[in-house]
Amino acid sequence: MTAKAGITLNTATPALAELHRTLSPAGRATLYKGAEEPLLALVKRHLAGLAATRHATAHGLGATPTGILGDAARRAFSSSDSEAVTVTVPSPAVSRAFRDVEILPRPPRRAIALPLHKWAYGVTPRDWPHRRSSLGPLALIPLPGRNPLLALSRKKRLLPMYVLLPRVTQGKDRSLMPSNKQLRQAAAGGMLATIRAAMARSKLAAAARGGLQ
Amino acid sequence: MATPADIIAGKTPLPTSLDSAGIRARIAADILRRSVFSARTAERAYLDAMQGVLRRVASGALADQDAEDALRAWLDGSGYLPPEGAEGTITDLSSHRRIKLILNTNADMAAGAAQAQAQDTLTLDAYPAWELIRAGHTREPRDWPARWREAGRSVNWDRAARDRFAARKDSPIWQAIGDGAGGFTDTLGNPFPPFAFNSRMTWAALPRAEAEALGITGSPAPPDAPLSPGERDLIAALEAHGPGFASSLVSELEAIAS
Repeated sequence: MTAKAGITLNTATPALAELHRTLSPAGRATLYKGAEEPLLALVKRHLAGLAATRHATAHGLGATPTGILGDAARRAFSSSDSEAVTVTVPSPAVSRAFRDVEILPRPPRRAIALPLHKWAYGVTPRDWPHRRSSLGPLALIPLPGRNPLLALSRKKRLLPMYVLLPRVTQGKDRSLMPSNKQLRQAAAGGMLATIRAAMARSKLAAAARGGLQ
Repeated sequence: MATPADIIAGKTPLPTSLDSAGIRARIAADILRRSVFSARTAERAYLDAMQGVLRRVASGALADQDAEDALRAWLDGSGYLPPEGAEGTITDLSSHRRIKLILNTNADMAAGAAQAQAQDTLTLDAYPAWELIRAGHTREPRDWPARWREAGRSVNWDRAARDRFAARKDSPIWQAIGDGAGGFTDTLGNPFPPFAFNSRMTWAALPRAEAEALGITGSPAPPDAPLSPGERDLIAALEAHGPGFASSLVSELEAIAS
């Protein structure tokens, strides 16, 4: 799953709407291409900032952050055509910036495991034998009327590692991506820079032609 | 323009029995850039599977955890056994550390290459510099100020800022960092991020005004590059709308951008 921020500016301002209406597809593509770099920079800086500060779950469990937001920042990419400019963040975690995300177990699995302990954070039960084998195996603890647990046996006590849920809904969190205003600002700034640069280069080219005559 | 997934799809599997140091010493960086490889991985079929998984990770079709499961399932199905005593270590192909290293290095490299390839004359003109920024937590951060200093010295600070990790997009400092200027041996030989294994640093573009404020002047764009068809259409459309239209458009965009 990805988070995609797509920007079209065909109705943003009267002059831009007019230009958009009359411009060839190649011209529109040039305009949108000019917005790629500032949009991508905005999204990367935003996610990098979150990666540096947002470790609430990990800290709550006393665990090391998994680095999902940093991965998302480094792997984000941009694209554009004659209709829009888009920044794609290839990360399921960031996809909930724009919608609720319901996570269901993928068959043959029957439950989603939520970590309850720092040893379980960032490690799935199926990954447990590879990454936590030194701690011992997990045991399934059915609880009447409640969601079952996966637990470790430590010093004759059961230490819950995960709670098993039939589904998990992660609520939309718009703060995972820059605001619409920030996205529009960045895109407009890129288009502005493109128009100015194209005009300057056009004048240079005209001057060069004049000089050759 | 190529997406990171396109870049991975365009690579060729390169089976090798060399370790990381051997790969770095004996295979040219430009060959590695075009290859799917992993240290001491001579099984072509596994590299094929890895390429398919990496392509899906780069496009967002597959989450890292699912990618890890898929690669481990392939190894299990092939009868792979880690070297005795090395279970769970970086030399164990099925270990979390090894698979995560493969995912991060390849997905990040493809994104870095896509970013480098996406440059055109207008982009270079308007956003002439990169800044190297941290994107992700690490327990033991590398000494990036030292790396930047060594790389800067090695290229005489050509088009590079001294007091911020910023340089013009065509500065030789980027290749110097990728080559490990100053004796760093964990680098990948690329002029784009990630510059080193397990690095959490990435690029963000800087606009011309900000680059110039840092003393990074000029543009990597060739000044005499001909206008592209799109630029010509853009100029023609601005002129066709009559005098004053371009300045109205610029004012409106300035209002949004500010």
